[in-house]
Amino acid sequence: MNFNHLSGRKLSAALLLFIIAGIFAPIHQLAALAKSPVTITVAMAAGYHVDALKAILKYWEKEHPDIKVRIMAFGYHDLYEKIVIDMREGRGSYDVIEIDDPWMPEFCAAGWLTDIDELAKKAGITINYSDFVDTALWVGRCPYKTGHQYALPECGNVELMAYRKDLFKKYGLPCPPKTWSEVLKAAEVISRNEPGIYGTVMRGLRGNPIVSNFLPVFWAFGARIIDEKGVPRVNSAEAVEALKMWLALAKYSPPGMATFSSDQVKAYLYEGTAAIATEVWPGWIGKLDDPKVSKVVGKVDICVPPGEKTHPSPMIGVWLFGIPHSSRHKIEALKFIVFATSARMQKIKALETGYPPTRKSVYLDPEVVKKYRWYPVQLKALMTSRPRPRVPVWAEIESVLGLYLSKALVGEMSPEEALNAANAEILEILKEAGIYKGG
Amino acid sequence: MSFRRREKLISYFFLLPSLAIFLLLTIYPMAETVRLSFYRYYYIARRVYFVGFKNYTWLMKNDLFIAAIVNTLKFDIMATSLQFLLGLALALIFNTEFRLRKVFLPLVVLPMLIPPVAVCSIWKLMLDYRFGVINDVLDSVGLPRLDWLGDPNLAMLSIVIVDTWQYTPFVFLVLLAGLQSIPRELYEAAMVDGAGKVARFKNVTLPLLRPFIMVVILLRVIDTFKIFTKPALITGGGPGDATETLTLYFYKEAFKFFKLGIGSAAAVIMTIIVGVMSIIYLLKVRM
Repeated sequence: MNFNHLSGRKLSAALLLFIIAGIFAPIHQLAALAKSPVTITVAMAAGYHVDALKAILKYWEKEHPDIKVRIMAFGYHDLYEKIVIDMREGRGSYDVIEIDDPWMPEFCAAGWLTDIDELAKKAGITINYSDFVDTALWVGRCPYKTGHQYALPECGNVELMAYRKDLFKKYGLPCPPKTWSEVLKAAEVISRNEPGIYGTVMRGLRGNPIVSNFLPVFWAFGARIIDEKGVPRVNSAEAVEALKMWLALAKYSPPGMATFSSDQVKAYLYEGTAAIATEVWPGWIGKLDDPKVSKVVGKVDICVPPGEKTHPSPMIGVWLFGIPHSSRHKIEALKFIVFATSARMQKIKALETGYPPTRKSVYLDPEVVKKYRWYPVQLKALMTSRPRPRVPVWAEIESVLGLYLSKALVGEMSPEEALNAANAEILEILKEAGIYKGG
Repeated sequence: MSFRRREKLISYFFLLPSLAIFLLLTIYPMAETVRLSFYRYYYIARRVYFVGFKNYTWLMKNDLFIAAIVNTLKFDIMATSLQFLLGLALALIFNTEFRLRKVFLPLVVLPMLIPPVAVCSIWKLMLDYRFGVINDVLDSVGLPRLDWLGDPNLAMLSIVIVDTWQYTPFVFLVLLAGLQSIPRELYEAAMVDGAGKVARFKNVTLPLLRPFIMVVILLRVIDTFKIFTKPALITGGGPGDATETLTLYFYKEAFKFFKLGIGSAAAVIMTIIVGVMSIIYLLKVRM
C-alpha cells in the first residue's frame, strides 16, 4: 500500500498550517492588547513586599479601574539585575520599580529615574510631603537630601534592637541599654546566670548580613566609612575599637553565628534562647506577641540601637518606588505610587501585614500602635536613622567589608589586620570610581 | 550541476540552521567575552576603556580570586571522588536482586530531582548547630556537636556533603546502566575458571565498566567545577573565604557589581582551567 506518500503530504500540509497559525496568533494578541486598558508593570522584591501590595490592590482597582497593575516579584539580586538591565537598555518593561535605598546613588548618577516633582507638576498632582519621615524622603532625592525627589519611600525599614525586658529587670540592668558597653555587660550577666540562654544573637553571614549587623556599632564609636574627601577610614582607631566591641558581643552568640542570617536570629529570639538581638528589622518582629509562634509573648522590648562614644545611629534601609525614565506610562505610574504611599494605604498595609510605614501619622495612629506597641520607638529610630555611604560603588565596598569582617569573626585575622586589608581594597575601589580625592 | 555536487550543497544547506544557531549563541558570546576581558567595562556608569591584560594580572594578584580557584579545585576533587565511590557502591548493590529493590531505587534517585534551591534550604536547616537534625543525631550517640557551617575548616566539607547527597544518584544511574550491560555469561565463564568475587570484579566488571566510569567522572569534574548555588545560599562564600568558588566570584563581579570586564576575564580564566583539565583527561584516557 502506498501509505507513505499520501499521509506525508497531509502531514506537511498540517505542519504548514500550524506554522502559519503560530505566526499570526501573536499578531492577533497584540491587536487585542492595543484596545485594552493601560497596564502598568511593577517590579518588586518577592516576599512580604508583595503581600503588602496585594493587600491594597483591591482598593486601587475600585478607585482606578482603568489602570491595571501587574506585579512581577523577584529575589533581591534578581530584582537588581533585571531593573538595571531594563533601565540601561531603555527597554521600558517596568513602569514602577521597587528600589533598595543603597541603589539610589547609582541610579541617580546614571540618570535613570524620573523626576517626581516635575512629573507631578505636569500631571497636576500635588504630593504632600510633610507627613513623610524626612530621613526616608532624603534617600529618595538626587542628590541625597538636597535634590529633587526621584523616588517615594514606601517601606520604612530601620535597624532596631530587641532585648528581653524581663531578664534585664531581673538582674537590674539599665533598661533600655544606652551604650554598647551596657549591652555587653548585660549579655555577660545574663549568660552567666541563665543556663540555656545566650547573651546575644547576631548575624554573621558574610556579605550584607554581617555588615548590617556591624555598622550601628561602628558608627556608635564615631567611625565612618568614607570622609568628605572620598578617603576610606575603615581602619581608623575608632573603627578598630568598634570591631573589638562587636567581636566581644559576638562571643556571647550561639555557635554557628558565622553563617547566621535573619532566619537564625529570629529562631533564637522567638524561642527565648537569646537575650539580646543586637540587630532586628521591622519585618522580623511583627509576631513577637503572637502566642502561636512566639515563646516570649510580652517579654521582648524594642529599642533604638545604642550609641557609645557618640549618639546612636540606627541604619536606615527603606525601600522606595521609582519610575524608570524609559517607562511608557509615567503618569499612571505616578498615580499608583502616590496611592500606594498614601496614609490610608500605609495604615492598611501595616495593620494587615505589619509592613513598616514611612509616614509619621501612621506610626502614631492609635489603632496601629495598639497592634504594634513598639511603633513609637520605631518612628524615633527612623527619624534619627543614618544611611549607608551615598556612593554608587556601595555594593563592592559592602562585599569587601563583609569578607574581612567575616575573617576577623572566625579569628583568621586580627581586628587591625582585617580593617587594614579592607581599607586598602576600598581605597582601590574609590580610586577606580573617581570618588577618592586624596588626603 | 552534477548529482554529487547537488547532494553536497543540499547537505550544507541543511547544516546552515544549526551552524547559524551555534555561531550566534555559542561562538559569538564566547568571542565577545574574550574581547570584553581586555577592557574595563562599567556597565552602569557606561565607562569603557581598553586595559590589555591588566584585568588578568589584577585577578591573579587578587587573594579572593586565588582562594576561589583553590577552593573550586579542592571541592572538585573531594566531591567527584566521594560521589564516584558512593555511586559505584550503590550501583553494585542495586545490580543484584534483593527484596524491596523496586521500592528503594526511586528513593535513591529522589535527591537529584529536588530543585537545587530547595536542597540548599533543607540542608542549611539540617546542618544548623543547634536546630539541625545532623547534630541532634550526633548528640544522641554521644558525639560532640559540630559547627558545620560556621567553622572554616568544616564549611567546605559541608558543601561537599550536600552536593554528594544530591548528585550521587546521577553517578549511580550511569554506573548501574554500565553494570547491567555486562553480559552474565562473562561472569559465569569467570566462575567456571575459578575466579573469586574480587577477581571477577577486577577482571570482568572494572574493564567493561571503564567507559562508563570515564564518562561519569568527566561529567562530574566539569559539573562540580561550576558549583554556585550551594555556597551562595548556604554559606555566602564564607566563613571568611572558605567556600568562595570561581562561579560565585565571577557572578558577583559581573552581575552584582556589573564590572563586565573583570567578570569576563574571570570567566575566561575559568574556561581555560576547565578546558585544560578536560583535554588532559581526554588525552590520558584515550577516549
